[in-house]
Amino acid sequence: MKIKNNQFGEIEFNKNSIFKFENGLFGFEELKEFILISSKEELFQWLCSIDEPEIVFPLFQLKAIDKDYPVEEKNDAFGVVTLNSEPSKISINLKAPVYLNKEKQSGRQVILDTTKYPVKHLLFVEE
Amino acid sequence: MLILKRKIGEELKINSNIVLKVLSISDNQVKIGISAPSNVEVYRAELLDKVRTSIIEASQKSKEELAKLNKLKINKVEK
Repeated sequence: MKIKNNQFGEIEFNKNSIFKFENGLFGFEELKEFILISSKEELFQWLCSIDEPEIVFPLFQLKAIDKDYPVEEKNDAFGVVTLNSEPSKISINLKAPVYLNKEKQSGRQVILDTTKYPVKHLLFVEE
Repeated sequence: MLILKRKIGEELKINSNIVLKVLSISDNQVKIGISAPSNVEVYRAELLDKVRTSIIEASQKSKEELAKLNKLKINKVEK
């Protein structure tokens, strides 16, 4: 299968690599199918909508930020990143993780009921 | 909007499987107990709005030009 967008050009993928989001993502409830684009050189992975390929979310592995971050069995937890041309302003959403189950090829986004994790957590610290 | 009066301990049923119970009332706070199947999502409205806004912003900014990030240090959550 193929989709095309400005950022990645033509993207070819296997039907089996589609992640199905029964409830979509918050703010994008109507989008149900995504693929995960990753490359070794890049810090982020990209969740790209199949229905609307221009809609892309940068994701970052949450265990790299907090090794105690709540995970569900057989799921990887990712945070949605809000990019900025100034790295010090790049933030990640720790409150509403995206869980991807690579066995079932399913995904869901939840809101954690805790005050420990904010919606905007700066991703980088200045040295 | 449907408006109903309930006393402490009284319940409301939504469909046959969702129950809202008024647990306690103080000056300007009501404690509500909710029993619902696990696929029913219940969120504080203002928090849901905040999350939605953040995800929409993330999609809009996903095309920002990025500087070299590999040398930056990740801001870990403190214990």
